[in-house]
Amino acid sequence: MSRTDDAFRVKRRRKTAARNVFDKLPDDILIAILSHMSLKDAVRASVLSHRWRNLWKFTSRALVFSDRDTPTGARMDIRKFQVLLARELELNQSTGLDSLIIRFSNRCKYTTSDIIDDWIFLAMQKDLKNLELDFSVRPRFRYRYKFPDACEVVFEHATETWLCGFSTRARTLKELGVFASLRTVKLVDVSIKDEVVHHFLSCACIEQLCIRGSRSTKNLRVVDPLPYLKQLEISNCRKIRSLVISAKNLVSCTYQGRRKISFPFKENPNLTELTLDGPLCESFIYEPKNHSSYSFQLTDLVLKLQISVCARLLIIISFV
Amino acid sequence: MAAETGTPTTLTLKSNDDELFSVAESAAILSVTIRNMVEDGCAGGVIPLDNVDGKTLASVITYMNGISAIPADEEKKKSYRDKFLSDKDFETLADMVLAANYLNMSCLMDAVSAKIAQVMEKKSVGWVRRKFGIENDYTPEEEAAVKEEHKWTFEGVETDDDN
Repeated sequence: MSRTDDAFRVKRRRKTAARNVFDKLPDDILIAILSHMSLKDAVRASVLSHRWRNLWKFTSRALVFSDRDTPTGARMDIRKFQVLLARELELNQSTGLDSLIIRFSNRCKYTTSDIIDDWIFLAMQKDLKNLELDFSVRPRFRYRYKFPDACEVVFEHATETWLCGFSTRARTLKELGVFASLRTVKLVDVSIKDEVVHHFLSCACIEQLCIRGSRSTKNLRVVDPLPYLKQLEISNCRKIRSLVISAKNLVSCTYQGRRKISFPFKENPNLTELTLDGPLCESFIYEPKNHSSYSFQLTDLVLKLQISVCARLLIIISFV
Repeated sequence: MAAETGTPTTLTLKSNDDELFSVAESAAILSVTIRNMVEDGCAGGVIPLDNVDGKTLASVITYMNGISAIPADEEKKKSYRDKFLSDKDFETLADMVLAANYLNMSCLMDAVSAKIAQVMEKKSVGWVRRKFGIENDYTPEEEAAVKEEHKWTFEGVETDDDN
């Protein structure tokens, strides 16, 4: 009797010594923990116990790919980078995707367009919140990645099973209802059509939009309802013809470009930070009356005025 | 209101074991749960937090005060968070992540889950089971099947004889 008691006690003591810390955590928190690991580590956790077996399938991660090694600054060979992108694409098919950040220097004609298209198609099927594609090209380098529009991506990549969830008439991103959860979008040296930008702006939660160096941007309207849009940057879009900015909650705006466009600002009562260069900057200085509808409310103003080829005057005026 | 006149408002928080804590409103509203109560005007008296015990709440308040004293500098905030979590054991971390989830403090929630993830990363299954006291409820056949299914995830991971 006493022996079994002792044995019981020993067993109990051992149990309390190695108490399962995770017992008190709900699955949602375990999923949050697994989402902070690489996919490989999260999947391996399925071997721990029955409870962990399928949790990895609900994880969602932020993926960052860069061809530049941060400590040394060395660049990865573009082919190796492509292989990396292809392998990760395969691995990340069945889990969530919160953020997708791809940065590489687009410096040879050997392009990575196909694999990037595949990534964008994958992102379309997830509740992506943050998208950054930074494909900085060398000056005078003519090739630029073209952000696919709906028809192209869908019909090249989608399987029939995926498509049957949608109306057969759906031809645009809007009709497909994809990218609806986007909050931040940053595209550098990516050519993107106005329809696609307008679709991003129609997403209910969009907070930040940055388009730099797009050759397909022509007539852009950043117009309410944009309840969460706080930051906007449109820079160096060489073919831009017109821009209209009218967003009640917009706080920070940057417009840069040599091309002359008509006065873009309509109703922006919360705009306090502004950066301008090119003709719009000159207009701000020489025709202040045209800008009086909003200039009084600015607290941070950066004007990049080009006075000669090599000298650049940076004037920072602080109102308040 | 009081903040505008120069005196910082203080809130009183009550843990589920009836301990009372005062904390500056500006720090407490890092918790979206508390901020919503303040905005709805329910923060006049004592704010009861039924899912958090006194020990954990004290820790969370230390964090709230510490992090809100740092100006908008993500690097410094990150190093504060790392330092804050560095001496906590798993039991405490588990309590903190539960509290952060209940209080809806995404920055603390992220930091603690990342910390736990960091400990589990690249470790063998056996090591994680022992460290966190996870009971293996698979039969040997089931376990072998799950391992076989995800074979690739075992490449390059430290091996462990009894896993």
